[in-house]
Amino acid sequence: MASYLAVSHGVPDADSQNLNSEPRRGKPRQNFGKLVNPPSLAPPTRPPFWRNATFLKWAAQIGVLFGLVALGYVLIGEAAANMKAQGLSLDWDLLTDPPGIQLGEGIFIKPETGLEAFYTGAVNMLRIALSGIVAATLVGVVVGIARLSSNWLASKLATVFVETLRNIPVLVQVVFWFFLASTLFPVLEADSSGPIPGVLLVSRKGVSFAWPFPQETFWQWGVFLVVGVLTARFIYRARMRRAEELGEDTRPFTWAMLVFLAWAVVGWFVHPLAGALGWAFGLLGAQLGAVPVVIYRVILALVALYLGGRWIHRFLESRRSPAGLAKLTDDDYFRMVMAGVMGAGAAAALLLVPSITELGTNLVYAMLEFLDQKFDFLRTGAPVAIGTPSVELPGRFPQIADTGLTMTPSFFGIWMGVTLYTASFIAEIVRGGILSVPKGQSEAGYALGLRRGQLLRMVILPQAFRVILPPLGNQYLNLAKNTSLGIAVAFPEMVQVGQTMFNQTGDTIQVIMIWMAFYLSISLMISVFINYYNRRTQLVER
Amino acid sequence: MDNHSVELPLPPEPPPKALRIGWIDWVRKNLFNTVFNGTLTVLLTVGLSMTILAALRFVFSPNRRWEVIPPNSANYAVEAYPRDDLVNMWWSLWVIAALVGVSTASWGAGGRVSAIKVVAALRAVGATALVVGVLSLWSPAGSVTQSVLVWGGGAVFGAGIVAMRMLRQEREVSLSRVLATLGALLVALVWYLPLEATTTWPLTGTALVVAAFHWVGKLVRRWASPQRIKRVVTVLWVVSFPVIYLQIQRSPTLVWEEVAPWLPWAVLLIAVGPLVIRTVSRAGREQAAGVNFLLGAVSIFAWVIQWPMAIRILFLLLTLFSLATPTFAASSRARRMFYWTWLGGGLCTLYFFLLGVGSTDLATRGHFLGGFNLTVLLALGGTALSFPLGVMLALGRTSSMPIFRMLSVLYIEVVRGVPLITVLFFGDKVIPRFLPPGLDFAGEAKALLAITAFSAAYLAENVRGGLQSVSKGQSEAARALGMSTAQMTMLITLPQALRTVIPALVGQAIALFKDTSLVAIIGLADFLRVARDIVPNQPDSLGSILENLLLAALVYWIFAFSFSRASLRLERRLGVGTR
Repeated sequence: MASYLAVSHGVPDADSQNLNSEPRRGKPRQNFGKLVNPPSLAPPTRPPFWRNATFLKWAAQIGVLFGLVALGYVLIGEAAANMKAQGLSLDWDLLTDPPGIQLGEGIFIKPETGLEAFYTGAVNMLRIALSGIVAATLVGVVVGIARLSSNWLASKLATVFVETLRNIPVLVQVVFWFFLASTLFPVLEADSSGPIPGVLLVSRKGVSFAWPFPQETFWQWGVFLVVGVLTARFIYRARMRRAEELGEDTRPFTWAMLVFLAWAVVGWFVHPLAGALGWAFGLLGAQLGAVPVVIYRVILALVALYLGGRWIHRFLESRRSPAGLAKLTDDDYFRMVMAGVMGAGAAAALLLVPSITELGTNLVYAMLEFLDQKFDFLRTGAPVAIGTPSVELPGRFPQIADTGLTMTPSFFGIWMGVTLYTASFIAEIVRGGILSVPKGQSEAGYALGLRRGQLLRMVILPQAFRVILPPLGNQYLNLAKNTSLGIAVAFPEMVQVGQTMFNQTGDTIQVIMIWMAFYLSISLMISVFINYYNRRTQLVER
Repeated sequence: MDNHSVELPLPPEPPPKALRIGWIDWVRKNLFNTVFNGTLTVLLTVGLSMTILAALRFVFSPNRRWEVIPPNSANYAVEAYPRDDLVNMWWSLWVIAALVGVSTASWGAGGRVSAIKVVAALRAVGATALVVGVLSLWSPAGSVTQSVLVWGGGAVFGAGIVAMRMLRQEREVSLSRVLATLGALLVALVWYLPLEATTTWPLTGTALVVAAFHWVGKLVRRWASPQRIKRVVTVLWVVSFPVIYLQIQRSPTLVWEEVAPWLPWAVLLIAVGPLVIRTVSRAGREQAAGVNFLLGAVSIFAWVIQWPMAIRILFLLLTLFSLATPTFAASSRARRMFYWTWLGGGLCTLYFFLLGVGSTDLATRGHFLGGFNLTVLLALGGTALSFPLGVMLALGRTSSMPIFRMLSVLYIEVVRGVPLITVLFFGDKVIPRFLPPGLDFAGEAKALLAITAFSAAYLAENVRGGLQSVSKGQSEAARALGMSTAQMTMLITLPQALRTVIPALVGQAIALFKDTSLVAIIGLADFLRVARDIVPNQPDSLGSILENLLLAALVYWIFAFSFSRASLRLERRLGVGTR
């Protein structure tokens, strides 16, 4: 860090006059100064460094940074000494050692290594987060629109839903649903078939329901689905353009749906054709693997350098007025130096440390190999099979069999809790977004003869979406973070697994670092995703 | 008003007759206006009835044991606070009650509400009770509560309907009278519930204290300006919470031998403070710099040699005050305020050290925070402590100094990116690692620290929104008046920014109140933990978990809901976005 600090430190002195640090006595005065003021009072053009605002600012910043680094050094030293005294160490053995723990559910119920335990926790967390986000959005949108409904009962019920759920702590709700499921649901008997036989089975050991499970040929069919979506999109746009030209309803949505369905139905029967892709992926993997890694390293390093340079270039462009380059402050120089250092640093790291690039290339090879396995010419059979809930009797006590999709009471508790809690906030966001669309828009829509559903779909929601999206992203982030409350109902997600781990090993600091890295990357991914959509909807604006 | 209305001598218009539409018209208009809405209404009615019936079957089931809750009220309120010293808790409550009384007198006095609205609310309550009571007749068990619901609800509902017919539209009643009636009803409820006399009497006393101090507040209004009363009451509110938690509830006993060596010096330092401030504010720039340098040197020196912690902190505080003197003590009036601020700050520091270092307390006999008391402490303490940190982070994030900005952004984004429970675990498990072996903070203190650190990041983002909403002309004008950056921030931009974000800050405080329930996971005995673990594991109330959880949900809901309503009113009164 010291290098760029020194560089930018030198810069401000050169243009300290631009910084309004001592602007009152400039050069023009000096002409009169000889007449009016005695020469001894003639001000120096540059103030002494202890009065120079730029210098003082940087001194304070570097001082504080130094202080923080020193504090961190002392604290870490203290912690290291303490841990040594307790026989603990700051290594990462916990990832490779057998943890000796058992998890409630997930991929590895008895993990062999710590890494497997965390992997199970991460997958469980993602199961809750993704299904919760979908469900909370659906419930939230329905409730939000219902609050504005002209039906008195619907709007009152929606209000009660929102005001009840968002004012009770989510942890209370999670614990409540868990205990509801594990004490009030019917006891599982060998002949239980639930409230809706063959579709839904509710018991104290979990809720199981019928679910379409993808089979091994699903990927082959998936190719047809993807092509179907792309074609449908193309057809939709074409029909829309046609509608604008002709000025009549060309039913773009119906057309698009029909095209998609046609692809799906045809694909269902001819999906083994897509098995040829397996050969293509295998070939691609072999070709890419043949290229020496050093070439990838160089390419990636060049990309990093290019990105840094482009950032600086664009920054300078944004500071350029028609009259030329605007005066840059010390802060501007700092930003540019920082960008340069980051780009160059990334490039250097990529060049010098091969394992970074290897990690990436190995990931790509693994993905290609995975795809290779998923496609096969000779593989036939239905891509999707519907599994129905059933009960099995392995010993004396009945269990829910693996045939349906099963939520354990823990899963049910955390899932219901975070989903309904977030849904109540999403409902408010949706309502606010719809209310933010000016009344004139709907009046104009009605004047054009749109029906209520059309108005909502074509006029109100597209405009409301722009307002809704940023806070909606925040709610998704909150939902993802609230999955950590699974610990209160013994659901083995990331935090529960971590706590079980450090209760065994005492490696608290490592576990907390793993948590932070995990949740920060999840947050980062969700915000990147939301920002991408945000930018797209904003672009539509003008 | 335009001029025409003045010229034309029209008779005053009679008040518009209340538009009464028949209920059949109302139903047709609001429930069956389209085919879709009609279908929806039928479906919702069926679904709602089934839900209500299931809920009633749950509530009135013979398996529910609601009677375990009242005997556990002390556990819910204070958990393991020594039962011999419970009078301390009552004193805390009475102090708050007194402040509530005075505040209602000075803020809400003279408020009037429409009588129709009050009666309508009563009618709604009666109707709900009646419906619940009647429906509960289908559920398994009959009880006294059912007949109370049916007859009481029916009576209130009927009286409400009759009163609505008789009342005139413009009739108003005094707000304080409505609140007093409500208070009386609550007291009646307290006596109805099977509580012990040691609970009912002090609770009744609390209501009386509110009433008495309401009257005192009204008396005071006769000879003091409302503004001054409000200012004093605000300061009393701020002071009351440290006093309640550190003095009344902790009930410390001073150990003179610990304090005696440094107490005179500390008092002397506090007394000398105003002299230093006066000297610095009158001296020239170079002399002031000399004094500051001297003070700074001494306060660094104080950390090097083994001076008592109180003296070190007081010297540091004095240096900070002296450095801030040119900014805040320029005029003689400002200087007087500054003296008082110094005296207040110094005495608070002294008091803190007297309590913290030189005393023993209930904590030595076992932890004294728990139950709803702990929840309130964490929520209030977290809000109060995170406020300065959050404002500092917001200023750092909007600053033009890149390193401060980077540090603030890093802190804010990291803390906002991780769940609260990981921050709580960090506080609980990692802070002891940084301390010398054998030394550890109380779990409550660590949780408070973690909650503060967490909340500050969110608060900083709110304040940043406010700072960015202050128009640039304000800071330019401040610059033109010759203000320094510190003056501009403290006197011009920050006050305006904070005013804009008050509703957001209240929302943040409510969220924090709900989030305090997470400390149950790291093993603190807060309100939720009492409901989830402590009460349902006692022999008398074994397994009554759903009942207790519903009670917890209800209590959290009442507080969060009423705060959010109050925040809405505040928002409307501040006119955010309309001014």
